[in-house]
Amino acid sequence: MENNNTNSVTLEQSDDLKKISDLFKELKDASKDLAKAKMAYAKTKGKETISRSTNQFKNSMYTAGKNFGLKLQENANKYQETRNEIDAIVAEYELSLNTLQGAYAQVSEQHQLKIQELNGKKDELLAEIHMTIDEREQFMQENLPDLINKTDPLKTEQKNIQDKAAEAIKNGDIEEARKLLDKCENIKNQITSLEKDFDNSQELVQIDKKWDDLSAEYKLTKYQIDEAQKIATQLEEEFSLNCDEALTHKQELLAKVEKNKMFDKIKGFLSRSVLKKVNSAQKFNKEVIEPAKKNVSEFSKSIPQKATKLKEQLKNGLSNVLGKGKEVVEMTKDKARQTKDFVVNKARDTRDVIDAKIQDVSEGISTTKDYISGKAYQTLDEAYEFGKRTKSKARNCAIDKLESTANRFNEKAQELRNKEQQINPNSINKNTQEQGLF
Amino acid sequence: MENELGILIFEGKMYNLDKMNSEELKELIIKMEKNYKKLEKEAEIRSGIYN
Repeated sequence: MENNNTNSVTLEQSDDLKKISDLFKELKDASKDLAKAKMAYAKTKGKETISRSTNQFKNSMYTAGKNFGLKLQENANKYQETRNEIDAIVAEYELSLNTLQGAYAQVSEQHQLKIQELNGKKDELLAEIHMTIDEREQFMQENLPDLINKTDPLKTEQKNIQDKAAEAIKNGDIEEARKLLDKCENIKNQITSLEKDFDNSQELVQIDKKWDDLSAEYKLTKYQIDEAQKIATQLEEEFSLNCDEALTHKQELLAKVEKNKMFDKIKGFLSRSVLKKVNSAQKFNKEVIEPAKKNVSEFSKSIPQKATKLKEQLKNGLSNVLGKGKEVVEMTKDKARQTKDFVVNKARDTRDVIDAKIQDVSEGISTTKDYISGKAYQTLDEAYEFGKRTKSKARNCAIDKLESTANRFNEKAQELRNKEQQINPNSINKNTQEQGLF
Repeated sequence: MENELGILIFEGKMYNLDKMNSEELKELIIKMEKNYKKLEKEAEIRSGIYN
């Protein structure tokens, strides 16, 4: 029968372990897939930004051409050279953005791999916490029966002596009852001492400390992951900002063109015929193509610096998060130590208060015991006297009276014992320890 | 040859990461993050971390 129980417990435990192990595997896969999807997002978003920026750049050049009276979109041979020049500038611009996007994708990949690594660490810590709880349960399963084996016979003995004491009171042997109650007190102290030793055993304290440390590290790693995730947004913003910077050149270009257009209009009223003679293509080349070429060339030259900046941003961001993490670890540890000290002190204070209360209660119990004994003695005396007075006919009646009074006193004593049990320092200590774990 | 991220299977559906646009990827990431948080919470509860 015992074997069957052991087997069912083992099966249950193994089932639980399998569930947890499957869950951790699922978590690991989910983290890996999430990192992959985020890498894909960074890559695709980068490509889309490049495509949009390149199109906008090309369109703005064509619009500028239109403003200069050049119909570049028309398939006329006379504009082929200008179109080729625009295509070359746009191609250089696209190439620069692609290089920058390559650096951004690489940095995003490194970043996601770092987050994946932190996620892995976090899941390992969670698994360790789970194992520590198992270890604690195992310790309880192995050692609790030993404690019970020690305390149970004592409790049985205590109960037997209590019964004998009650019997002694019933029989009027007050001296004997006093001796027996003292024995009871002694046994009760032995039980309390054994239970206290169990709660404070080195191994259990070590397991609880390990649990505490792992929980603090788990919370820290989670905090680091949350902070590291924010770097992804910063990198995306930096990349978009760089692309926008190129577009700013384009906007400046357009503004210049618009201004020239207005100037030309004003001038047009004065000498329209002169302006007509101006070669629009040459003007477009001077006002648009050349500055655009210069801008794009400058932009291209700045790409390695921009790529380095992205890499530095990731490096600094991560080192900041992990460094901050170290501070947080110290803070968490300090806080944990302070909390533990506080808990221990509080527990000590509470224990002092409880001890004082117990002292009061014990004194109360002793007084009540004395009162009960005195009262019982008095009652016995009264009963005896009453019995003597009423002879045997009334003796039974006297004993009934005595019994009912003794029962009432016993109930009163039990009530006091229950009160004492409720404010037992052991149970308070245990609760405080459990709260301190989280 | 550019590195491809390939296929990903999530909640029984197959996603080709290299063929999706950024909006579709964003939607997928949000769903995946929700699922990850759910799994993480379950693992935490099973490991005695309740807050």
